[in-house]
Amino acid sequence: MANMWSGVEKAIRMIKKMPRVQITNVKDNTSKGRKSKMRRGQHGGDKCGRGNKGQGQRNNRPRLGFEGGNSPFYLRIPKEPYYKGHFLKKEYPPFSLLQLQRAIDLYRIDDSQPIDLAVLCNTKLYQMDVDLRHYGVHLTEEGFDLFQAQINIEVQWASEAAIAAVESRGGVITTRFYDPESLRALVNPVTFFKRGVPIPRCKLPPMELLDYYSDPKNRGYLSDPDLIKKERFELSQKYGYSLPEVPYNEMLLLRKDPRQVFYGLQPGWVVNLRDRVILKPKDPEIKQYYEDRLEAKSV
Amino acid sequence: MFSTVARCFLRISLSSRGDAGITVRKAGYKSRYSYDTLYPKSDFNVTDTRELSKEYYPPKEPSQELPETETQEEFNGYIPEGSLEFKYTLSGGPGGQHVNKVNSKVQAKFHINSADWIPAWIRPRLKEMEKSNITKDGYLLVSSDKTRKQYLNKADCLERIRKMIWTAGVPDPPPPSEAEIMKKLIKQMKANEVRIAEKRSQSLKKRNKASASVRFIQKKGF
Repeated sequence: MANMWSGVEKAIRMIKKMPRVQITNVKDNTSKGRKSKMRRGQHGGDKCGRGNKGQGQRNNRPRLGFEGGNSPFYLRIPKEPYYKGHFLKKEYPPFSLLQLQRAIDLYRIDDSQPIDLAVLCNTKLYQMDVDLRHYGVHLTEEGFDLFQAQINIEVQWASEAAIAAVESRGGVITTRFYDPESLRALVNPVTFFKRGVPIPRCKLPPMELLDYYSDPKNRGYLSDPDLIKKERFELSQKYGYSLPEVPYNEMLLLRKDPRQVFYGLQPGWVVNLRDRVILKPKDPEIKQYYEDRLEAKSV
Repeated sequence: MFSTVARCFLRISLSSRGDAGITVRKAGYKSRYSYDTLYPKSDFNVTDTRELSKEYYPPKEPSQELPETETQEEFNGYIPEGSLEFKYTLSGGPGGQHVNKVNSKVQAKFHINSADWIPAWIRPRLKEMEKSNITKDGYLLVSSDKTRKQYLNKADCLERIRKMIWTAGVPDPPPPSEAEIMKKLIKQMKANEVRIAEKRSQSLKKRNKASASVRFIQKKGF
């Protein structure tokens, strides 16, 4: 009787009886198929996949890129000035207002709390790689017309229209620098805490970025708040919207200290997720170091 | 108030549900570069901009408005909310579905005579300058479909209105003094003399090129 059904039909009958696929009943394939590194036996041994005689067998191949004597590809192509120093340039992968609004609407971002890089990376909607010289998030103005949320957002780069969009809804936007070590902590806080290292104190921006983060037009975190107020007002005049009357809201005015990486956590603390405990340094010198108040020792 | 704001930060409570149940707590992490050391006198409440509009546009009584001929008060660029009426329509030109469906063209309109945010002496000059854009009722119309985005076109409209007012608000140059008039006259006369001398010399050159008989005739005055 079983031979009446085809393979497909048998499979369908089986699936109907099985429980639904869930996170709890899904398992990796075993690594039985992995080949052993040691080249032994009839099929792995003898010449061990190296062939007969020659450079291949005798470990005497020339350097990578060598083409037997003719001009190699990597030397034939001329250099172009437009990509000079590309490996040194900082990049800011974009995140648009549209994406932000969508995330807020779908409850993937809580707009009743300050939004920073850690929040964005935790949603997994935004990815960045510190190893590729990504220095943070660039908030772009796509979705200006649809943006509605009133938020307190901290980004690393913001276009003028993006700033206008956030402020026209009564929100607050700040641009803020993080050095690569702090970025690694922010991009994946759980992995960072699991390392068991103290939270770093964030470095100040390098010379080429100091102007950007000290400029109230960019809402830089190192700029004067009084000037930011003026720029806020002037931007509203430029784009023709009226600044909404915002009642005093502590959440909107929340700001991290320039040396602080996480909201609510100080540099120097070690967060133990497993035991749900925070370890704080007691030594006064270490505390002073993390507050950047270390006095030079007199010899 | 600002000191509490500057020192304010959140404490993330590690709840079992995994989402951050955050409570606000004022506490004291302050590095050497904390905000109250960098800017001790600044107000960190950036959302409070009520005082600023008064700076740019102090409320005036009607009696304070001086007649057109007298004051030369400059336009500071401030356009109060509600003083312009905006209309959003479809832009023309190529652009496919976007230009056919989206109201990206912006038209701004305001009544010049009742615009008290423009200094009184500039208003008649503006009317004269932009008479081609003014309706019979006295409304100045400025429309823009320069970009693909409505908010950028709106900004363009505002920019153009401000430019118009500033160009209209360029003060007349002062009348030239006696010395200046004299100087100009002398210059003109000198230039004229040079021109005439040049003309005479050119004429002489041409005459010298002519043949002997022609020169004879010219000399005798036939």
